Amino acid sequence: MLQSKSFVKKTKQGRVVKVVREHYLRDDIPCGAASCSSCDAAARRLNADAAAILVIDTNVVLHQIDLLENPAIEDVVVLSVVLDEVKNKNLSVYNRLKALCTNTARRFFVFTNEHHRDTYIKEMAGESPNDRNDRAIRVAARWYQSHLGASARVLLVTNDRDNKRKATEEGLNAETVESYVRSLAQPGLLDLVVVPTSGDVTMEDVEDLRPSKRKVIYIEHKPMSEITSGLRCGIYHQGKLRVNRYNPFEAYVGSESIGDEIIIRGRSNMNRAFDGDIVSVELLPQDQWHETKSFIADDDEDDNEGDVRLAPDSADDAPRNTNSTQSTVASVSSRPVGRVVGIIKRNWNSYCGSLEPMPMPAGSGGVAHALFVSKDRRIPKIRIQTRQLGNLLNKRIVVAVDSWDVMSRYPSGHYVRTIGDIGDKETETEVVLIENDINTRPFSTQVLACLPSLPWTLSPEDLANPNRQDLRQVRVFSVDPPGCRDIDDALHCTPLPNGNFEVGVHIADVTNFVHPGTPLDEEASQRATSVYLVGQRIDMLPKPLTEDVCSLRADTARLAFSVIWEMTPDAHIIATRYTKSVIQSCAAMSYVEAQARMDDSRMVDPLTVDLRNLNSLAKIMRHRRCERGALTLASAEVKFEIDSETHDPLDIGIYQIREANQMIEEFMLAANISVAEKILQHYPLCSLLRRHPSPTKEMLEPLLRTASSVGLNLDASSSKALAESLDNAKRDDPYFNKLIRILATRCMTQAVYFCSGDMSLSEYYHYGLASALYTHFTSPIRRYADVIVHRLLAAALDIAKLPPIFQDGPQLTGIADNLNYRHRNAQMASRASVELHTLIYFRTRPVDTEARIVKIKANGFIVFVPKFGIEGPIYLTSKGDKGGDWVVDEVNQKVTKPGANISYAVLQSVMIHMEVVEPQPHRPKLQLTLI
Amino acid sequence: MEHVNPLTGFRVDGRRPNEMRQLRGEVGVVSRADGSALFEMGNTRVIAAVYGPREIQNRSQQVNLKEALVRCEYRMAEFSTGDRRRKPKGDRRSTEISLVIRQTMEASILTHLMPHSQIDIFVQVLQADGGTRSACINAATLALADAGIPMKDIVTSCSAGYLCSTPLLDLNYIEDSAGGPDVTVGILAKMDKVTLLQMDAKLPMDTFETVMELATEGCKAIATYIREVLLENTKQLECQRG
Amino acid sequence: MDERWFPTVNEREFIEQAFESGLRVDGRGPFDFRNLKIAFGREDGSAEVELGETRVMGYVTAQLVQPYKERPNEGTLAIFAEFSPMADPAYEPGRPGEAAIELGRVIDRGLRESRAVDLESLCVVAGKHVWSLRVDLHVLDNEGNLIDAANIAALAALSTFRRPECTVGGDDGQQLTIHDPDVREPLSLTIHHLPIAVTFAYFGDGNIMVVDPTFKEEAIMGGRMTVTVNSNTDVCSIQKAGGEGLMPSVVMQCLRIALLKAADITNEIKIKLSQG
Repeated sequence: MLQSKSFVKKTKQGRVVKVVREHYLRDDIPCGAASCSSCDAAARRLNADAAAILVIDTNVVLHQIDLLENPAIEDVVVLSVVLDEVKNKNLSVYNRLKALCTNTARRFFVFTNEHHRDTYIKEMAGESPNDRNDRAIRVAARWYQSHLGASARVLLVTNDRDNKRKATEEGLNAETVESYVRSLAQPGLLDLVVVPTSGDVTMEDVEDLRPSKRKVIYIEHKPMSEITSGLRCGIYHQGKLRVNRYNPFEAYVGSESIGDEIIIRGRSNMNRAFDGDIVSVELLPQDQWHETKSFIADDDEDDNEGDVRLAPDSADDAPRNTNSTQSTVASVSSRPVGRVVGIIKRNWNSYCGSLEPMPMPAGSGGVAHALFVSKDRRIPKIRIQTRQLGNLLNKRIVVAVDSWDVMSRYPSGHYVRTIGDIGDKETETEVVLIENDINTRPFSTQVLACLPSLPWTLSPEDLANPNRQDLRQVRVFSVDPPGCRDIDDALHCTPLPNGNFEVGVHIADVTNFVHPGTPLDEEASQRATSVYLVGQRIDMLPKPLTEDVCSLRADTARLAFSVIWEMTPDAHIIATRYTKSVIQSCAAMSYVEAQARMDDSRMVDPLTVDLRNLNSLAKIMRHRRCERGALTLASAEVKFEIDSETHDPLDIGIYQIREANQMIEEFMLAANISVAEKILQHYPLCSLLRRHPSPTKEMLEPLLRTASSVGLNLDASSSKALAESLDNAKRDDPYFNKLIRILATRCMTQAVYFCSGDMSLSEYYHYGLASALYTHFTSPIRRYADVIVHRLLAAALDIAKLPPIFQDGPQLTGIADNLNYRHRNAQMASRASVELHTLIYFRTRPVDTEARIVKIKANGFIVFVPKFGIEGPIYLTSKGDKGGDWVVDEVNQKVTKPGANISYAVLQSVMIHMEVVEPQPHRPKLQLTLI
Repeated sequence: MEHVNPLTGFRVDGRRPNEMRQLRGEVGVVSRADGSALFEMGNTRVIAAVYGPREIQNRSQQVNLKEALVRCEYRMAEFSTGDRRRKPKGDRRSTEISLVIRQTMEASILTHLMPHSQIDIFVQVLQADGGTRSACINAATLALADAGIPMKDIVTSCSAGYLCSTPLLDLNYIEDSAGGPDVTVGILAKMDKVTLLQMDAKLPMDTFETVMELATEGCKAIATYIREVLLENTKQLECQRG
Repeated sequence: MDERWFPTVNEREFIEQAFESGLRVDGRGPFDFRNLKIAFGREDGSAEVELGETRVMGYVTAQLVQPYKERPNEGTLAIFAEFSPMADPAYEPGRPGEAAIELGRVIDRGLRESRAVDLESLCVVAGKHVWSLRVDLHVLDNEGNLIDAANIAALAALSTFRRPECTVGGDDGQQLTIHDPDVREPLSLTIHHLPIAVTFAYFGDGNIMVVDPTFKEEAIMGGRMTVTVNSNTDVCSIQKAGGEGLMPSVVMQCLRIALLKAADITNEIKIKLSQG
């Protein structure tokens, strides 16, 4: 029999369409009862001798799903009308009900009453859909009773009073949930019964995508005119939104009008703003400024310190302490708290990440609405539509954002492209590059057109240039890491007749080939630095320049920019001069080679003598620097040995620092400082310098606390004092000193570039080097900052004109900001690449090794593994358990298990086991466990 | 959206995966035509009218003087789908379907018995709810039989698809637009030969075989029904004659 | 006057008798393809294919348009075929005839419905700007089996096509800039698989079948079936409209043969692409 269902529907575009559908009624639908002889035996589910056969109402399913899952409830008939209603209202309850019905151990039977000839009913005039459904349920229950006759008792279970009343009027057995449960006489069950509330079941994270059912979740943004007037009167404040990387529901807006950062808490207060947007903020009333317990960001697997990563190099890499364990709760946070009312400038990008796992849609080409989770935790989940879900699951993809309207919880975006499989090395490396905004595109034809004609040779014009001195006869040499092709710097050391030394530092003359305003210069300015990944390098300038024309290779004439000092044997600088030059390096050595030559006392050729002279000068200079207060912090730089074919890591170890490294470093530092002084002298307002802000008291606090717990008193009043205390921190444990230095590294700030006109003289200070002035001059091939400094120096020497950009203060500040941004990103990309390779390395090699505890937490501690330079958490209790057994002693920095007499103190050595596990498919992670 | 309910095994409209929609065929609905038929498959309604054999109207189109020329035109009424169609005929889809129907019917008509003449088949879709191609072919067969045009065998057609890992017979509009594959099969019933086969979207080959078999079964069922309709019609004519 | 070529009775009988002995007039086996040559034009996205003596040129262009309302995040792909009288005197200039439309639709089904070209990656701003691809196929010489040749031409052209890169920026994040190919390298399309069309012509009662019919074989054939498969053993589309009836078992046999042939042709195309 054929019925026709017709209803009117509003489409997405707003048109009104009448939809007519067929509806077939059947007479071959089984009832599923064992006691019934007429229906199909194969479909029997309900027990023949059941006390009652229950027919349940929609509300009972929605509210009491926990009770239904209890094994005491059996022999239930779920009508298809109930099934459909539940599916429309709450998807997760529907899934649970579906699981119950498919579970062969439970006796739940699905009866398709909507298609059964006897139980299908049409909507009566004036009946609401809800009433019609209730009537359908009653009709079905009545049919069941008449069909089964006296062999079984059919019971309609509903909490809807109206429904129950009508059912009893019609002669059905009807009961509420409580009375039925009570009749079962199982006291434990009654607890599961949920007291019905009058409201609807609250929707969890499932969002109803149907246009008619969406609710307004966010507040509308204020129009631009209101924002500008608000900014003018001071009720709104403007600033850039920065989301906390470790807690995406907390963000900060730096506001000049207030002079402090405004905290934004919670998704609704962030009002659809993204990290990096320029927003306008309204302050909340002051009584709402207290520090609410910042909840751990949900839907994330680990908390902020749960991942094994490289030891942080500075405070920026270490997680922010959002919940301090100190007892300073009493102090009300005086930081202003506000909410976003409008977005002035959007900062939407493409993001890479992967899709949340979800079941496939019906047809292979059917539309699926998937949620995209970005690798960068600061970005919210993005909803995308796709017809090729099978192709995209378990892959890293790039998604771009389109819009975010007030009615959807998540922004909408679309799929851009696939990068590759999750966990694949190439893919993950590309993800790292995209995340850190690193440009890997090949150089465009315009850029390549700016290169000089190759092969390049020294031309007579270069020699004839009066500003360029011909130093090809000087014995110049370079020392670099093995396999280095882009040689920035070379030195020479000539003994002078008066007993002093002439020491020269020659830097590749990049600005001779990269002219301001050309596409090549623009591109280099954008990229700002070369990025070094494990086994791969992404250049700032095209290869012909970096590896050939500018690189100070041995045995060919090359152009350079030189700093030449006259020094006494105890390294006092008597005179400095700067000049462009032509050099010809006689040897390009590696650190190992240079060190071997110096150490081998049999070698007395002029080159080795020069090396030894330089070395002794360098040692004196270094000592003097340390006197002044320069810090030597232990760097846990990890080095990989890569298999040339598979590009997989073969060996991992800490980078070895030899005397030769320190020697070169010393002279580079000296050159940088000299150049800084020179350019500042000529251009006090527009020089590009580098500063290192001193760490604040709060930043040093963890270090001081840890040190005092082991009885060490560190003086952090000045860098010199700190350096001295670090030198004196010695124990029997030979590794102790290194560990303390590593802990100190975590507290340091990052050095940044700045424009001299933007800061006052005292702020120029470089804490780590203990120098009043510093800049970058010695690596123009891989850093754009050095290119700028080269141009400043050339102008200071009247060799070239200063490009007009230097007169534009704000533009210069913008350039400095970009340099810092790119530098930071390059660093993070390097670290991520190292972490990735670490994971690959350990995937096939679980290892047992020694580790040191560096931080105590309530449920475990963080250890540092000296052999590999990585650190990660060790859990003493299982996840989720709040660690009630273990007691933390803050003063002594110990965690103890009372009763068992086991304790772990900071800086203690423990043995651990490291291996790679895959708790979720395709998401391997390194796990550390105590042995 | 679940096109096949995993708990009950029924489709959205209550059919099982291998069940067809309700069929209804009626002969002789257009009085002026030599033969006509109305065919319904569920909510898809198609009307077909046959004019011929009659004199060739356009000499230049004649290919083979020894055989009859078969022309076919497929139209969708503007009101046949949910929203008004702007171009009822002349767009690429209609042209292709006209071509397909013509070639299918041509294979079955004994054209060499009617030289120097032409047969026109006009098919109009009144209501479209999936499977219009199949309904048109079935209607055309009925109309040709009504017109008394000699045919090798009756041509019937049915469509099948593959959703939720189940082959489904006779897709309606909702199932068709779900993005799964759509296989339309037309057979010469008694001879059991496939004369029309169209498929779009991707299917692995073994699945394709299953789906094609299902569609062929459907065609056979329609053939049985069409024979009944024709027998019924003949009986009525006989009665009218006295 | 109809310019179509008609086979004489002699020719028809000659070809039919040859089939009965298992031979074809040009000496091929019944399931052999003719010689395939692919040449790429100077610009990205143009290719010329020679299958025996049939020549088809494929040309791909792209434009930014508004997407369809039902598919706001997908680009579009449209195939247009043109038969010029140069290829065959039977074709008339002007509006494409039935055969041209059928050709276009068969190739369209094979490429678009099977999702060979990733259309979602052509989206720039969902709901506002997407790339719309247009493949124009020009038949230069019709020596039989246009569908297969045109299909290969379309695939070759799509594989070498590069579209300009564009970025979305501006204050509201909605302004579109398209970059010159000199400034930013253009991007190629994502093609998931290559659907290959294999046409079977059959004669007699449907028991004699050959692959890749020539023009003369086409003129006397009883019917034709085009099967589009890819090297992943997926059937992408089938088109058999009328003509002589076939047993279902014969249909499956043809599919299996088509799979083998498709693998060969896919290899050849890949080799030619890497060379070109």
